[in-house]
Amino acid sequence: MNKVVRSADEAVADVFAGAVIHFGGFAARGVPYDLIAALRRKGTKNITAVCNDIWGGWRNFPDVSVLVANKQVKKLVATFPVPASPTEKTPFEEQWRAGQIELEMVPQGTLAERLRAAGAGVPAFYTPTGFGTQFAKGKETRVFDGREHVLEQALKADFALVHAHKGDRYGNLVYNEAARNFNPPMAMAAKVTIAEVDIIVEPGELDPEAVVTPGIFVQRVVHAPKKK
Amino acid sequence: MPLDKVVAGLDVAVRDIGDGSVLLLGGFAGVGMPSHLIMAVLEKGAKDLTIVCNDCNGGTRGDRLDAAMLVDYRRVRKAITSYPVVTTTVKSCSFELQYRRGEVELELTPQGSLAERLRAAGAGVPAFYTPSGIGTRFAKGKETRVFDGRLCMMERAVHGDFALIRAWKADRYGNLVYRRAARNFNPVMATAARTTIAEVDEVVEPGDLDPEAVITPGIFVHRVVRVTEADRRRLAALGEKVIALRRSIGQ
Repeated sequence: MNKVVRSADEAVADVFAGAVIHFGGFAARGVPYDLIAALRRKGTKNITAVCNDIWGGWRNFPDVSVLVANKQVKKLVATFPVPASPTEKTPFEEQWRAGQIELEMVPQGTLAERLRAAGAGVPAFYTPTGFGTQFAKGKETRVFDGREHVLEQALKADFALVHAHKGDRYGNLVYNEAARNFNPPMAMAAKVTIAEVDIIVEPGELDPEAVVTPGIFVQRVVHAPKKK
Repeated sequence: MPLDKVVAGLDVAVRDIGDGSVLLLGGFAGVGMPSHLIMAVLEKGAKDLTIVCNDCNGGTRGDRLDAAMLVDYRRVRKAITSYPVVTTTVKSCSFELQYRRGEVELELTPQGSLAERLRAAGAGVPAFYTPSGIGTRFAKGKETRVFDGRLCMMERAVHGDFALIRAWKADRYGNLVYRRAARNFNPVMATAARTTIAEVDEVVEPGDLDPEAVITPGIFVHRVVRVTEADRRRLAALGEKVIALRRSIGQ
């Protein structure tokens, strides 16, 4: 078995218009930059993008914000669509105010849990997070153990573009420090998971006890050596 | 004083486990069982316990020194489990005999759902939906609902007063790693109890474990006990009695 593909362009060749795509990463760490660049070259449109943040549009690193700037994103599902203290308008904000892009804001822990639920075959779950705020608007609520909760739905995708530190040819992945973040739950929550990795290793080289994402969840692996 | 969760021994580790406690017990078909901690709870005399475990039947050979020991000695009021009895019609086990006499309560849960109920407890999720069990007697009395055209049932989180965990190595901060199939239910249980107690082969210093490979972060763990040779001899002696008891009832 060999899930390694030759290039990021080859890895995203079948990503279709209108696809729902998970993008790993948290504020510049663990972002699948090469895969995003390939998607930008491909020009696929009307993407629903799921990610923690698009701060790259503010701090100038090429995360999902480049797809937003290139008008490829129809809807964004995120925790931080804008930076905490913006000093200038990002392309996202301009498109959102013009009604050109849809936004679903999700509390961060809930986003992680919705992704994990999708990967675990759980269609919906209750959480106290967000009750009494606009995050609960339009959602069912229920009391458990004397506390109000909100019903949240699993977040599945057609594709998950993740970044990992090492991957073997079977697709087993390990991560490096904070670059782990949303990548493991996203890797489980899509029909096709594509992983870009710093280092490709042979099966057997990764300590089995330390594998974070078993290869069964991963369809394609592409080598993305670090730049600079 | 630096953080050090290692306690002096098994009996100190279980000192506050009292009658009526809800115990989460790691282990799967004889692997990854916190046998020595269970021995200490047994010898302490705690009774009227609710146990949450994958299986509590002692195995087809009757030689598993796991949650079933508490059942053998009649300390269990209720079990939340996937495999309460031995999977053969030829032999019996303590749980089956007590269950048929109405002496123990059973909440039978599909295995994946049991793992998920424990994980939900640790994650702060009070309830979730799953398709597992629909169309079977597991769905009886449970709320059901359709999601994406598929009927699902609602399961509630399972919390414990204490989680008795079997891990491979611990550091003094309580970070845990596991060995192969002995991992099983231990990680999810470690997150789902008010007090988590881990028995390990080896205690290492903070920094010795590869941070990327830590499975249970120390924040979930309250007490760590290293199993000694004396503990193993004590368990072996208990084991002979347990096996004899099981043989005497036809297991």
